[in-house]
Amino acid sequence: MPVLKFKPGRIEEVIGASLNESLRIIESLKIEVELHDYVELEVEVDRPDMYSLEGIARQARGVMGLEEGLPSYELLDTPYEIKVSHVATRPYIASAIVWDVNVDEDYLEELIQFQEKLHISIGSGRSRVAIGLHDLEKLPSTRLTYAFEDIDNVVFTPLGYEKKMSLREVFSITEQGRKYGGISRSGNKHPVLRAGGEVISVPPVINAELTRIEPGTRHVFIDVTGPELKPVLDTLSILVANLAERGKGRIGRVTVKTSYGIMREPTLNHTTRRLRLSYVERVLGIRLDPFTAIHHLRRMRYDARPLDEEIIEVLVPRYRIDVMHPIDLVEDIMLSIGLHNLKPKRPRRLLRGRLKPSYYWGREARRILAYMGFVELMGYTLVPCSYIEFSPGAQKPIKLANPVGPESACIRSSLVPLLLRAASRNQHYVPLKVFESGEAYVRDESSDVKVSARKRIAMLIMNHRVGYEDIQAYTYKLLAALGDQVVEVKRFSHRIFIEGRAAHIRTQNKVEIVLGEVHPQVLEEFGITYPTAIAEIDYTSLDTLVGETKP
Amino acid sequence: MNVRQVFLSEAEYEFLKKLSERMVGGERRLYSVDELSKLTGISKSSIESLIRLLEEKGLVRIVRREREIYSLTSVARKYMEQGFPEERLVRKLQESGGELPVKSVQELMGGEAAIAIAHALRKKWIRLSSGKVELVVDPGEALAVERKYLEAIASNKPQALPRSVVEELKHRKLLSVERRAESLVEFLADPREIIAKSTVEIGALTKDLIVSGAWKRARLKSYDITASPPHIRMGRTNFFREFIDYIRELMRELGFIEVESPPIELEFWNYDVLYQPQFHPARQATDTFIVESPSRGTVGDASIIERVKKLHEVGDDESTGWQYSWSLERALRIILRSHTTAVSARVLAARPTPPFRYFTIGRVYRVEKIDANHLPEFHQVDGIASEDDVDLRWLLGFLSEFLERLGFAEYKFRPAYFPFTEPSIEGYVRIGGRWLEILGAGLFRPEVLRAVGVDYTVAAWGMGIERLAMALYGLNDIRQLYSYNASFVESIPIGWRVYAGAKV
Repeated sequence: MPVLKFKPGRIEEVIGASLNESLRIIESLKIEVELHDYVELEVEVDRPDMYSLEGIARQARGVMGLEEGLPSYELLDTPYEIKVSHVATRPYIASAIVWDVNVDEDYLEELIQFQEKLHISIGSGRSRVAIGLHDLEKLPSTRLTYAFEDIDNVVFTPLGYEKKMSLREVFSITEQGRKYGGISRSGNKHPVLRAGGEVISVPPVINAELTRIEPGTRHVFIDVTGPELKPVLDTLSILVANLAERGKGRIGRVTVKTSYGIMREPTLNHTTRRLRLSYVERVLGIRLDPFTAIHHLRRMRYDARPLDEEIIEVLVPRYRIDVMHPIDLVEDIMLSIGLHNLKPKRPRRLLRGRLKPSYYWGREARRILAYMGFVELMGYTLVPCSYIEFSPGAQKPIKLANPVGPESACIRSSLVPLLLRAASRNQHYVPLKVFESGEAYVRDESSDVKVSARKRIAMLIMNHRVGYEDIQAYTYKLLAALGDQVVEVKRFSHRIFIEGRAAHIRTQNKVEIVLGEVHPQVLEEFGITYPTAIAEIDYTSLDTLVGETKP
Repeated sequence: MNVRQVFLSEAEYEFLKKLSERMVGGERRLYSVDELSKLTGISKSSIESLIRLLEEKGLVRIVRREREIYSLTSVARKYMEQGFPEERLVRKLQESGGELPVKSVQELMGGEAAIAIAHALRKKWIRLSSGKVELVVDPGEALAVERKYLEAIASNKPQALPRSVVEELKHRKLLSVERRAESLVEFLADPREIIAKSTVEIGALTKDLIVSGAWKRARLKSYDITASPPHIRMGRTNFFREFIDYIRELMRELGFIEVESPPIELEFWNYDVLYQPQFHPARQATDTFIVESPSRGTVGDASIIERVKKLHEVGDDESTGWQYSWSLERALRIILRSHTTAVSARVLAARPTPPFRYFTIGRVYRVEKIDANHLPEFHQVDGIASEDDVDLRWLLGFLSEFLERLGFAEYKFRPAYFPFTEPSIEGYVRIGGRWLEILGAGLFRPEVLRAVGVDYTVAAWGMGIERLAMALYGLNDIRQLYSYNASFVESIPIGWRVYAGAKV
């Protein structure tokens, strides 16, 4: 979630209330507040229109009753025009001017923060949307071009640097170049925005020093680019509306000429939605009359009017890109009412809960093992991929593409290697009797995720003298206590066991068990210095055996 | 000393009995621990503790004294092997017909010449005259007297050496002296007399003592009941696993039916059905674990794919949708689920008939480096419910009931955002004076309900289990929940108060 930082004084100034009062209101807008020597506001990702203080204030002042209904901005046509030639990797650009923003030092910081939060969230790290902010008065011309240019022919001084360099050099020399240079580059071609022939931006990488915004900048020229039109226009709308909140509300349109037509943005057209009061009731559990509903919607900065006793027509401002469905209006009514003002309603219906049959088998098995002196361990399911070699019955590992480290690069296919790990970590705690229960995952082409989960309990004993018959004794005792019995015993061969000292067992309840004495070679590999024996029980069959009904 | 009735432990009795059988004479009452050990065959450490016990009973007195232990230096060992320098000088003189110039002696004996001459002179074996060394003793008698003492020390004979000899040997660096403390035991009464007047005290009562009736002639000793007991081991189930099962049982008690699905999941069920757009940052490889092998799964029902695609791309009569180009290929990618809501999505796709309450409990995965607060895998419980009057107020009521049954006296809810629920809320509980965010909840978005094809309201909520377990068990490192240290796991007290529903 985006975390925004502001000076407390700025909050009081922009919201127009004391800090305490301001923060109380802000918290009711699903924003988490932390107070240090600055104020930290954690805004939810659905509300990019509140990634700047002016956006938060617009909403807060509504809830405070200071400003209600749709905010109004003055939209003017300008002579500024961008001619777009085909930019294969980043075809869309939209642009606008906001007058009288009057940047000072505090606001410059906030503006950069706003831009960065939009880049990270709605911009997907600049790949989906990139924003360029320029000092309007430094633009060399009203004629702009947006084209796919050869990176060796683009020469300019990047923002924050002192000398001119080619775009190729920008990619290798500047931090932004290295970080974002690959997003829209295709071979030697890259998007370039020029004004009067001079480079002002190479989206999504960096702007030119030429149009730098600094304290004293009065008017702001905005460019937004991306591979899809909708997010580009959404972002531009949010930017102009929030910057205009700081200025006098005057926004200038920039004409974009493309091969497929002419676009004059931003339009800031609001959308019309209908909201049924019965729907509000169905969601919130309270019946509102049309006028109360309209009151709350206006406080949330919508315009609304009743069509009849049941239906309200709502005008949604352009910057509210999160409003996709009437449910989003219902949420805003809830925010205006306040969650704490909704009276909880306890469930009255009596329904019968049910757990998996295998849960009960597993629970009893775990208790019996504890009675027999075993300590239950609980470990991770993410394991080194080499563990597949110590996983009886599994051949191919289930491997992650992006593990956090080699120790957790695969998901376990057996509990056996985990218990061997446990034995190696408890060399000082002899005699050791431990077990673990949980799922192991094996490849299964018949499943939709190509993997099936197996319910397992594995136990391990380690002592100066321990062997097959010891683990066999515990296994048989456990089965007997669970009312099950062995129906088949076969020799089992696997590299973890000593040949001739391992078995595969099936029981009456179709429980499958692999058990045996661990091979000294494997003990050595795990750093275990005592004889060790292991059994792994697969009781997945229990669920179907008891005849569980699916939802 | 006049011995009265004494109580002896079995070990003390054994010791005195052996000693009285083997001691010579009976007059001598002063023994070193070494001697007692040799006489009785009982180890020195046992003797040490036995004499302390006997001292407490006033039967012996322990005298501490220091003793000098002599041992040969390397120089001494060399002399013993190769002969003392003065001995070798005598041999050299003998070989040269009884005399040699001092210069020649120096050439023959090097650095030892001076020592050899000095000691030979002192022992009156030679005479010095006008730069010559003359032999004045019968070579057969020229044996160093030190040799005798050193042999005695080397063979560990009683080392009653005259002080002057010791000083001389030390001076010649032939002897190293170590001072060692030693306990001497003085018996205040004859051990035989003590035995005669003793009654044996018994520690452990044995079957033999019972069967033979010998216990009747013995006294059962009083123990130090405040001493710490010896360490014993036990078997037990895992405390964290018990906590997870406790939550599971609580869900059953609230009328929920358990469902399961492997954590190896399709993006489709984890994200797409839940209306989380494919460009959402949480879906990137920096947040979600992607399975490389196997890499692609299947969705059997073509109609749900169609509905999900449409909702993401263009929406429907009520929703605008996300308006981007949705990729089925991407949706079929296999990942490790990031939340158990994926299971709820699968359950809803089976279109159960209300009223229903389902829950799942299991592991979820996020790309996180391991530290005291983070693990790449942890547990969640996720529940969904639909019945006649399900709405936000019902959800608040249900969550209140759930948290109260968990024992929380103080809790609160705040509005929040999740891509798949609207409205969404977060639940906080107060533990140890601070608010802990423990659950997320909401009503499924209409787009989610449309995707799975149901037309009723569904409430959903999910809760992480680790943080709660840590808070209730008072742990400060999440890795302790997954400890493989058997003695640590064995030592954690069971959280019975929590299970009893004690107020937190």
